[in-house]
Amino acid sequence: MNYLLYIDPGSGSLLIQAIIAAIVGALFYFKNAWFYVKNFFVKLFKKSTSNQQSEL
Amino acid sequence: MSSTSPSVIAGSYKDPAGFVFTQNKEIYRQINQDYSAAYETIKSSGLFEKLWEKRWLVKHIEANDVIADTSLHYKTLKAEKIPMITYPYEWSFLMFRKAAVFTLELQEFCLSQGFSLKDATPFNVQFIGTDPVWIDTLSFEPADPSKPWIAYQQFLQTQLYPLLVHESNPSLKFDLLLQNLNGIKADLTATLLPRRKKLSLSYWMYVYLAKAVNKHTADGTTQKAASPAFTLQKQLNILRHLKSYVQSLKAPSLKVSWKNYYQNHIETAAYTEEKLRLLKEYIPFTETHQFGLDLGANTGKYSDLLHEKNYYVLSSDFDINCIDEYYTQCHKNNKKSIQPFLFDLAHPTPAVGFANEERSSISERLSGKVKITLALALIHHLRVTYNLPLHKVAAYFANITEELIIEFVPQTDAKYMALTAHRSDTFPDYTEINFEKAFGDFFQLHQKSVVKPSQRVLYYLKKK
Repeated sequence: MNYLLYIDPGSGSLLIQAIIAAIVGALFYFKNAWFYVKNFFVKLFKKSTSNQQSEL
Repeated sequence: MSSTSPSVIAGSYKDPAGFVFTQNKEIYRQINQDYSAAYETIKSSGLFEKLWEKRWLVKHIEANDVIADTSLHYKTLKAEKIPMITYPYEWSFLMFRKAAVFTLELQEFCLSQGFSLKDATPFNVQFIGTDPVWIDTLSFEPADPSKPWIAYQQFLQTQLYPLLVHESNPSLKFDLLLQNLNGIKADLTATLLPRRKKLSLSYWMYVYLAKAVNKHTADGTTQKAASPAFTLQKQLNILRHLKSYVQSLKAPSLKVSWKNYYQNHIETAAYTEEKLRLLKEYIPFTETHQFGLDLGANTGKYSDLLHEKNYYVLSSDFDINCIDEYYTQCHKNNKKSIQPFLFDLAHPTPAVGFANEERSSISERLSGKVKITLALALIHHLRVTYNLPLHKVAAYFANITEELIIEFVPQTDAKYMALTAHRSDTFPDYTEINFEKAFGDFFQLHQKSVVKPSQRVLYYLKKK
């Protein structure tokens, strides 16, 4: 028997969305963190090159 | 003026909030009392105006004196007309993807305004030229950020899964939606995807998880879970991630394609030039932006010509890759009044849904609509490849269009010979005289020229 016909179309998806929100939230968190780390080094690098230039 | 009685559009009667009907060739949407509070909240919020400004929602004005069903009636809206209704299974991959991204962006915008979409089916999207627009004015409701998106699963089943399936099975096109207007289930999607596609986190989240939970719930082993607390940020995160996933999907390229036809084949420069010259002379300029239909548009060379003559161009081909390419080109070059869509003359879209009425056939939608149709280098395919009698083809064209520019490809033509090279059957009825006789039953000859240096003949016919 196909029970699927009797299921509220959203009932599974609510739970799933909670799980996905957690994963995606973590993904974005790490992406952001990576962005800051990268930015820190980019800035550092730029600073050192601009320092070099000013020294010239 | 005497008015005709209202006729309810069958695809719209499932929604308790209201329904669409036509009267005196105008499109109306009745709002039922069920939806009165939501409608007033949305109206006073200015959401409609903001969406109109972006051209994201079909326009409407209130026309409360037109009533289709008094027992439920709250208000009536008179809606702006869409030039040509096409359905998702008539879109190319990139058009479908555009509609999906548009749906997610619309939901994101709605959330920023305190509202949410309660439907996310691609049947609520139509194309005006190359731009998607949302046509269901009653899809909006005040958002409740503590709850997840109600239309999430519908979005997956009707938009994401068809895209995933198409990406890996391009020959299926979007035909699975024809079989089920409510979309494709996660388990079917999973069986249609190759193993290498299943190695991504996105697949796991949007397909595998849905499949697993469906199975689990279907086994009757879980009670309905209490809704976990949700936040607006969580919803936005999911929407943004879904959007980047959808955008990462690539249009597949089919091996068999007509797109190189012009580059690789017969057509000498002299022939093409002469054909273009004749067409420029034949096709009349339209002041009123009438409909011009191009059958077998291919790279869109002649659709461009219709566009130059000020037609609203319905540019069709049976090759989904051609449509993809031409759609991209029109979008890039800002040709706003060219609408590409898939149309296989030998297998036109049927009417589907309950009572075969929810989504109409392509023939019904085109019937009596088109001012001028181009059917260039097509008739030999219809006669030989598809075995269609000339008279039947002529009758079909007469049902669609007022005027017809059609190119006859004689039996002596290299392309005709290539078609019949490996066939034992000959087509003795396929002659210029019989062609003229068949089409003469429905059309009057207006102009006729041989496209030199070939022996092909171009006819400009007008309906009797």
